[in-house]
Amino acid sequence: MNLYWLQSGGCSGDSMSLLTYEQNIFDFFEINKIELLWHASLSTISFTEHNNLLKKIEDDELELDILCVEGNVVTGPNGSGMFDSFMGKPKKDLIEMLAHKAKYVIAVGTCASFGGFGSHENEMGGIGLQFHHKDKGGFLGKDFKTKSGYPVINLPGCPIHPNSLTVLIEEIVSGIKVDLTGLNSIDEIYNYTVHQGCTRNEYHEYKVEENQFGERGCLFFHLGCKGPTTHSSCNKYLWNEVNSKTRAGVPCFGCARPDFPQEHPFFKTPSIVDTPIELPRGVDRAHYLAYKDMAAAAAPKRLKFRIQKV
Amino acid sequence: MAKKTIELQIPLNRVEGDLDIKIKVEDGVITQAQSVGTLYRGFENILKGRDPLDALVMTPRVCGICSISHLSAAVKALESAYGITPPAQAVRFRNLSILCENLQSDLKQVFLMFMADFASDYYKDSSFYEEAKEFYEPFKGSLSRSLLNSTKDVLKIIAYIGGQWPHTSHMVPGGLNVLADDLEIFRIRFLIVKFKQWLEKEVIKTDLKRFSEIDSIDKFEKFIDENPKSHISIFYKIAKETNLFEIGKTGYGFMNFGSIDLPNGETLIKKSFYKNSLEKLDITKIDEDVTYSWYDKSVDDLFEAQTIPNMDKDDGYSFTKAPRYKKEAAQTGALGEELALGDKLFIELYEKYGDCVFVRELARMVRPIRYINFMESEIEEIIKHKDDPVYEKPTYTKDCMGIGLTHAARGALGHWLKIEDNKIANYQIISPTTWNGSPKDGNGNLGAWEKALIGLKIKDIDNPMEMGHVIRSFDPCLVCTVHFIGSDKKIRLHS
Repeated sequence: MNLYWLQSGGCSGDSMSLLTYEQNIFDFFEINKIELLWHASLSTISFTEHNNLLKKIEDDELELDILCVEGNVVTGPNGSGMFDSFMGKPKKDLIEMLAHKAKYVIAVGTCASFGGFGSHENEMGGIGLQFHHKDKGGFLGKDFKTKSGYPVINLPGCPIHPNSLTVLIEEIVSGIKVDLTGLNSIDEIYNYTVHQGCTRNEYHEYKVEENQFGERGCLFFHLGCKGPTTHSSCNKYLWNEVNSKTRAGVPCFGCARPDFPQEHPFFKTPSIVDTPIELPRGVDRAHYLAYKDMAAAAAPKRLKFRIQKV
Repeated sequence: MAKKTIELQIPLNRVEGDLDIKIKVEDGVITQAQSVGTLYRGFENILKGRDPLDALVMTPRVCGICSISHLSAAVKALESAYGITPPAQAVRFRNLSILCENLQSDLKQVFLMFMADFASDYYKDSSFYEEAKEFYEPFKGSLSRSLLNSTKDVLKIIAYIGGQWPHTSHMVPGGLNVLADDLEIFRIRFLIVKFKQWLEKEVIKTDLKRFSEIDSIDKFEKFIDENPKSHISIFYKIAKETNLFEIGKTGYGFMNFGSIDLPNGETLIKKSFYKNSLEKLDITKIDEDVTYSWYDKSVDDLFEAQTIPNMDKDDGYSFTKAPRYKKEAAQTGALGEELALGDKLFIELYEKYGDCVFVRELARMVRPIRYINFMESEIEEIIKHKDDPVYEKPTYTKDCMGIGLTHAARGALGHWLKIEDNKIANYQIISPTTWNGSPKDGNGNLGAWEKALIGLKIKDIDNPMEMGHVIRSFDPCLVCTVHFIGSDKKIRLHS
């Protein structure tokens, strides 16, 4: 299969992340027989060859299997798209052309999936490929389907974990059905929360809270951690194979959520009566309050006094 | 006889981010060059009105390639605003984080982006072609592959400290919000040593100490003769054959915003401006010119300066601003660091060959050696002080201003921050590529790589390889020039 990687309104962080894949990413492409037609940071073909390649795809002389888009679709200023241009034309035109030719379209990262940075203000006019935040539609419209019958497959995260892309490619190459969540993200990575597997879970369990930076404790109650409300694999498949932000002590910023980057301060948890306004997904508030109060009362000393090295 | 004049539109890959270059070629020589970016993300405006600490989460997302550098600049801007000195142990961990990012970035740029050119068909008749193909061919070259394994190991060090790379936020005003236990600290030491061994065995092909002792061109050339398999020697040979000693010169001075923090608030490599000799940097003498930028004129004071895109300006051709030091154009990067450090070899090379492509790129190729040596001693200091605090709770001030200066892989990076009523009132970022890739200013000074292109001979206009070498030797990172914007263009260096 071939793959065309297109960068639009983004920071290249997803590409950089991919280079840290635990198996050598070049080996990965080779073993899975993925021919990388174009990646701006890595390809050596000349501009003339690149133009020819695009023309062949446009004229249906070359069938495009996988299109990966990194970054959001830029529509500003005033709908013109000229804040992100390609060959003197808005890059959104190129995205539209390629999306209609590809068998699979993958939105790599939160910006491509949901809009991300520059999607909350009007200036840049960033939108996701098929979502604008949590709402279906986005750039390609809610009814858009690729030649394979799938909608745009979302791989949110800022950046993506390399595993989310590699597992999706492996599913596609193997021809098995790709299961999607309600946000068209892949089930394999996004149907559980960042909280799952965090080494600070026991602190959360007994509501032993971190009140200032650098303590041992749960970051959810005061320091803005969105682990329990964010769907991603950070604590199942570790970052750079060794760690995660929440394990180290950096709160989860909800970077895989459709509303990222959210409006309220990242390092503060919005609360009512010392309980976060937004509770872990699917939890009943009254029961949660009762449970947490009892749990806090039952907290063992080794946690309360932070004797543990975790 | 009429001159043969060509204006072309060329996308050139392997730079980070979107870059267009308009050039005019007369009789095979570039006579005009304009540097144009094509992406505007408006980051500085997104930050306004937010909690000051949000800069720690948002500015790393300016650039996925140097996100730790932005984090570092942001935390320094906050600490400068609040009047905080972080504990020494926190400074050490921060240094390791930023040096890891820089050193793997250097190696990726040198071998995946710059050297990859020499493995392309364009050079198939050159004496170095087979060797270049063996090592540097994209996806296949043996060094490209082993480099990928080694750089991802180095990035584990940042993950052990701060949770992940890219895009973490483990630096906060007052120190760090993370704790590394003994296992992590020793694993970091192991990875540093392992990386050093890889660098010695696979890249430099000699022990680093021996290379570090080279302090003259004579000794350097002797090293080349004695170590033909070293990638430094291969590069030297390629550079001779492809004229890299002659092209890419600007004569511009070098901006240094200070590299490697010392516990006393100073930096190991001084904040400085190097042109013939080393001058102390006067930070108040930096301003941004927008004469040829697609922005409305704002004020010179960087604490007050605004980013107001305006695509209707007749003179505008780029949406990067043009930062200037004492009204002069400047450049920044690895070579500037070596010169500021007073490295004898590089001072001699610079005096003999100028800021040509070879010298500029060589500086980036050998900088990881200096970094890894420092990292080795830094981790020993960390072990020695492993029970020292990494965080002291600061007092935040309601209204204040601060500057955060750092040296990213690509050079001088600064954040100017103004806080009013506990909110970000203004934020301005000057990134390395805005120095190197700036447009012309009101006084007619070209940006650094615009200048470097003038007079360059182009053999094949369909594949202007020489232009790629010149621009890539600056290690462009366009995603960092946060206020780039598109326009019609003639030549395009695209990513």
